[in-house]
Amino acid sequence: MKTESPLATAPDLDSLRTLRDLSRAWEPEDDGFSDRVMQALSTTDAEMLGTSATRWQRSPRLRGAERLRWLVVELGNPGAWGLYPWGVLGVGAAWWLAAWVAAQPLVEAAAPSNNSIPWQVVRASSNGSTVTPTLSE
Amino acid sequence: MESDRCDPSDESLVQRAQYLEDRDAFAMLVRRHQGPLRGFLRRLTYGDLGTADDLAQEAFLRAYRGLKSFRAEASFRTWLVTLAYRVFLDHRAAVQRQGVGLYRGSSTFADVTPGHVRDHGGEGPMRDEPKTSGTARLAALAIDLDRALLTLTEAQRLAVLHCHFAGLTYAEAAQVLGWPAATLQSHLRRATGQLRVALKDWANASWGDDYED
Repeated sequence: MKTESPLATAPDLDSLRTLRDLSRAWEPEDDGFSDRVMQALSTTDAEMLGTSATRWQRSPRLRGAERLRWLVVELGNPGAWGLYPWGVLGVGAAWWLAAWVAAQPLVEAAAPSNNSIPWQVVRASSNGSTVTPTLSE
Repeated sequence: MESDRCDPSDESLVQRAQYLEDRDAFAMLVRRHQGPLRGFLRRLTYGDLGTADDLAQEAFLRAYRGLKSFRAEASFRTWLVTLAYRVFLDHRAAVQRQGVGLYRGSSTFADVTPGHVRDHGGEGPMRDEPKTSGTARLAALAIDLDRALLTLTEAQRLAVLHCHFAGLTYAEAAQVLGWPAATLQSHLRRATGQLRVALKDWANASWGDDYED
């Protein structure tokens, strides 16, 4: 196969550009190196998660604030969720319940039904007398 | 490859990796820069291929972990070379502390170049072999160049590697190496002179326009 040479003409050794061309011409091919890097990246992540996950068991006497901080960090890291499926499910359910309760129309609770109103407004009389609200029986 | 066709810029890939934690974007950066970086580290470690690749991997891992702190004041390549050089210095210091021998590389790169280069082994243009392909001549020149680099002092070698192999500007190289710009240029000037002498046979060698793989 004909290929254009990185040094198309005789190497000009007066110019160090030749060195760069040579360097480029003999750079290593990607022989799976980048895959290995990405794999190492995933492995490192998993190890860090593992360390974090076992920290709870290794230090059962964590103080309350530290436990809370640990929990927040863990929950903020979606990659860690797989390690605590029941915990995540529980927290998720609690959030859902809280959201459901919050979404309920509170006005309805205060809305009176005819039977439950303890007092009624007496209609104004047609002769112009003053109207005062009175409690019904 | 599908993603290579789009050929997004380094800046765009870095931003995707930075803000979206896009692993694919970072993988593309690794694929794009692995060749120059490994070549640079191979020369820094005197051809110790295994160590050079380990250091390159560590540099990429540090780059990924440090992406949030990357401010794009320099190019991603420059930042990566800086990280790689620091990784190299850390490794060299650790090895020296342990008192074991430094890098176990070949002084040349004959073992990573095509087979016919090993047969030739460098040492000047092959005047007695007129039918030798351009590839072999290029490889032979590369070997001679590596040998010539070994004749330089450590400072001269570092200056050449950073400026001409890692492709940094003089200012960037001076910053990475922690030298004043004038010192760097002085080392470069002397290195160039020595390389010219060492490779003088190649200057007048005939050279084909094309070569066959």
